[in-house]
Amino acid sequence: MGTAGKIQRSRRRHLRWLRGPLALASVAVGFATAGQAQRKDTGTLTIVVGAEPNLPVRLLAANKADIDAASLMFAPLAWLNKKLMTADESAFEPALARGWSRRDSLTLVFELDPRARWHDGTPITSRDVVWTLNTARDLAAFPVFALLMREIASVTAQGPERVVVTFKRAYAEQFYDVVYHVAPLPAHLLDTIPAKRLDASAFAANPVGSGPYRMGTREPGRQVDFVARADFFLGPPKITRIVFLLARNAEAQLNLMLDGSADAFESAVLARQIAPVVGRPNLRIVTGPWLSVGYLLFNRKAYGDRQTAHPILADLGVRQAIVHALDRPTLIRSVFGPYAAVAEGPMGQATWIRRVAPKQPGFDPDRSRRLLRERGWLDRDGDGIVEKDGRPLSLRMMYPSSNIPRVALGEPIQEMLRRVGIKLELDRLEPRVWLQRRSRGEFDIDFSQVTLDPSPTGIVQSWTCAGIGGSNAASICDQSFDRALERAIAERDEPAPRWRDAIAALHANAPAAFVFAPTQTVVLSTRYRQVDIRAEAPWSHVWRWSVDPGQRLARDDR
Amino acid sequence: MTGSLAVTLRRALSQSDARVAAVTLAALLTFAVVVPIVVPGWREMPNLGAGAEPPSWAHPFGTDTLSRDLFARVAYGGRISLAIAGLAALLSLSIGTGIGLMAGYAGGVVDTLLMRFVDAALAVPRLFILLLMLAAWDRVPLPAFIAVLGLTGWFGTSRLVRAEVLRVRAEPFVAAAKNLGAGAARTIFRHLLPNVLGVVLVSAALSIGEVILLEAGLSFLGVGVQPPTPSWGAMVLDGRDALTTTPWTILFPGVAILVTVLAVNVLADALRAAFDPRSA
Amino acid sequence: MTGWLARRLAQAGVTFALVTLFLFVLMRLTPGDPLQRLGSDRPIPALEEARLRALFGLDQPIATQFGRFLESAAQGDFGVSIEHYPARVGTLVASRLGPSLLLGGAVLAVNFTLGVWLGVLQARRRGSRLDRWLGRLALAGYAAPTFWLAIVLVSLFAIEWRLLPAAQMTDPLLSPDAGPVAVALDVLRHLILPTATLSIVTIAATMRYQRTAMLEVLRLDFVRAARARGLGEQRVIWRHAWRNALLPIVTLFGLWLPVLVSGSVFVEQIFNWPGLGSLAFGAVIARDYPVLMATTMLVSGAIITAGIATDLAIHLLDPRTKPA
Repeated sequence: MGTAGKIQRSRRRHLRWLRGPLALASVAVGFATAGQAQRKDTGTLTIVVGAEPNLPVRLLAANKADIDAASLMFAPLAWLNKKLMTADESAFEPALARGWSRRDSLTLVFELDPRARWHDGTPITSRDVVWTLNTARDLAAFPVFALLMREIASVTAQGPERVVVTFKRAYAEQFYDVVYHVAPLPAHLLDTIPAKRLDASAFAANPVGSGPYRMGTREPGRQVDFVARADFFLGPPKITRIVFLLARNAEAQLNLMLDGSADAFESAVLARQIAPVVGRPNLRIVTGPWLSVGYLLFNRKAYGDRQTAHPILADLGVRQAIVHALDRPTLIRSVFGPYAAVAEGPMGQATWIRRVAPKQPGFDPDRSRRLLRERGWLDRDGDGIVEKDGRPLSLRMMYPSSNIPRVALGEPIQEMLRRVGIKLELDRLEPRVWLQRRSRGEFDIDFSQVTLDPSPTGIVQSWTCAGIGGSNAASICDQSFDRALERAIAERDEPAPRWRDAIAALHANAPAAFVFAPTQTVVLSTRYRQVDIRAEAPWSHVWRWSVDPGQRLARDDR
Repeated sequence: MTGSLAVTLRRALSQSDARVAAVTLAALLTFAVVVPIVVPGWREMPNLGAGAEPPSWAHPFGTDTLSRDLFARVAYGGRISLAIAGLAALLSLSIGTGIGLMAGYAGGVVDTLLMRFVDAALAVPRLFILLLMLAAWDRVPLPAFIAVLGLTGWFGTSRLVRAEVLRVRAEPFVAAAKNLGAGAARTIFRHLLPNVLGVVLVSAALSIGEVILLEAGLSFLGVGVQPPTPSWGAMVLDGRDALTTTPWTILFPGVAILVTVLAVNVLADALRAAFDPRSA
Repeated sequence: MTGWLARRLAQAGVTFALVTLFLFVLMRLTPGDPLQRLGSDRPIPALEEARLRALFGLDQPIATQFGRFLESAAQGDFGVSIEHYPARVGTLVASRLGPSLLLGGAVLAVNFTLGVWLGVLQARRRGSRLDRWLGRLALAGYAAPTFWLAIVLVSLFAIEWRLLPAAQMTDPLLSPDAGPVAVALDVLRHLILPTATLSIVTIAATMRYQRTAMLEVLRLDFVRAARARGLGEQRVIWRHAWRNALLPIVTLFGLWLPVLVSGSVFVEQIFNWPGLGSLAFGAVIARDYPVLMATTMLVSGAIITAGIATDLAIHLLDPRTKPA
């Protein structure tokens, strides 16, 4: 990175002599085009981001900023459509692949767009696609991706424009698995670098991509610039420059929008945070379904002991009592206002199966108290908390102090459980401590919030017996649900009813109380037109946006 | 000396600012002690989902977004914040005075060792030490929180006390007492301690103010008093993004912090002036 | 003199070594694993975790880790950041040093001009209404929580009245062709609010020290003599009295550093100032050991150095005092 920076700097110094003539030329052009200037619809976009993109390549990405930056610089073979229908290959939008066909239930054929070029001008060929998919499936180098693409049997090139992918078995999301997880990388630059060294290479810091933008200057800790390429094969972007403005603090993030320094900011927000934006003349709030969900995860095993059943939460009745004790619509209204929906399962608002899945049982405090009573939990000493065998029903719920929605929800949830006689202690933990405890199973209830992949199959990792030791931190293992889920994933012709059964089986076991599914909320300057924001990568289609000629600002020419 | 201490205190309170500050502090203390007994509902959410309500007769300070009465919360939070500040300051002063006396009286190797340690401790910003130490608990119990604040606050005091001891020790009456065969304990308690009390008192007042601000700052960074217990700092944190929309949620706890720290500092000032009249 | 300096430096060396050891041990004792990454549902697979642990040397016993750390730190190499991987710690710290020095310098400049001037003013009008109100106002500023004050100032000056930028150090879209004057003006505009916040909460101490020092000097014979000689009041105050009241103020320099570092953690958060305070705070939260070690050692080194410099300055300004 150090050397890359040096090279950039020296390059800038070399170009300095050009400044004078360039300035003259631009003045001349300015005069020549003064008549058209009124109708100009190009401009710049300054986006507030919460973390710095250090490795803006999907394969290496460590945070959301990396993924968002990668979505500007790399085009996939095909884009997911806005409905995020992952199980239907006809619902994808062509990108680097101009078309695709199916030979049989185990073979997909992709035809690459011959116009597509890398940022360095080299044509994008089948060799790049084959190299990328094979590298991503290297278990030693990229275990996460190798697991995601484990059903791919082989990837081969047939001539420069055709790629053939075969699978180990027939299932609905074959196409999604090929195009979603990684975007093709330039093999001609990378095939000499060992896969494990990729993250420390100069390429990782300043990649050569296939997408509409390439990386411009970079001020560590402050901002990263992306510059549109005029030769993008799907047309030159009208947003000619994008700036990622780094701001970690929630106040600073919103203040940068309010004082007009920045144009866009994506975040899950509470009603009280977004309130100052409402009614501002130059800002609007763009909302849409999102891929995030928050829930109270019940540990089936004892606190920090994965061998013993949890003394309280192993009992289905108690878990159901907690689910019934939560008045989720009120919780969401009081904390999020209109910027979240009630969660009905391990799905975000944008996950397609949410449209078919059955709802989780609702608020019913009487039922909750009855369930507890039936299990022998009674308030004998009159302190408002139920007990059994002399032990009070007392549980600890943990969540990270950095997550504003969960911090805001902790106390009202505590209060709601207190009303049915359950004592809930809140552990507001430092983020790294919270993660450590989660991975060790040191919790009764974990207030989790996860951002999901568009595919519902991610449920396998977190909610089935197979995920124990990995993502399934609560040691959930219900055979009936696992079987139903397996059937849903395998179904290719009519997956919806199968998924309905699977989620119903999940709710029957009450592994968690699903609380909130935030809305994707983007605070955006009113001057953009043809706005297209995606749930999985909000800025991947900025190249299609334009600026309202009547609202252009001086900075749109920079 | 004890007699003159009373005189000095009286002299400090003869300043009008100091009197106002003392009355304000007394009022705040009474408020924090009495109100939670009379209005106990600091954690009740009678109208969840209705949003924050502005001040009214029923709720003189308004309610927060979870419909909790802010009057009750500011009072109860004051109890917590003031208790933390008072106890932490007491702890850090006791340690600081003890160490300062020991270093100053013993001199030599003991002095060198202690002062090198104090130097090292003062060279690391307290905020960082606190952040790292407080992370050792999952949910910091109140006594531990107070202990950590106290244990990281005595370095400056010990230095001041030591300097004062060195000054007093050089004075003829101490040497005279020693010549008359006074033991170490007698020298320390009869001669040194009373003479450093001035420094200690001023330092006490200042460190109460400092701890209140520190507690608020730590809350802002997400560390400190655990929910649902309210403290002034935690309440400012809860209302921090509401300054333009529901200002009362941040205004009352914020003003409470400011007024308390201001009053304590004015008192410290008056004390200092009373001990050292030339500076007034 | 040289003997004293040598002894003082040796002391500082011991102090610094203690600090380094203390920080290293405290950091490793604190729970929380730097390798756990946020925002991801998938935990790192065991294979990947082992690789990362070896990469950062976290698989070694703590004594070995400390030895390695000292060895490379002695060569000026603080390793690679865990959170900002693959950025080098040296690069990260270097990029944050400039903004930190700028902000800290601006605050010191305000304190030592405005604060000193106000302190002298108070001393000259001792006991007047002006003296009392200036004292009260300064104390009120001192009593305000830094972050609270910052939030209030931003809401008013940046959001409501649109006079100044709310955050950042530079305009993100400032043209790369902008001349040095334009760049300086841009930075200056962004500097005003954070400097004001930190100055308001710290200026009381400068004023207090200056006022006390001035009062002591104004009482002295030579000032009276100067007045008696018929010298102008300005000349008496600034040329004669103030020069002799400078000493206590110099001692403040050494005290300021830790206060500014802690205060700037909050100010840098809210104003999104790309300084060391926010880098260090982020490193505490992320348990980014290499960055945390580098930043805290830098700050501690600066504080220790400032202490020596202060003693030296006192000694040079007033050779009668024998430094302790």
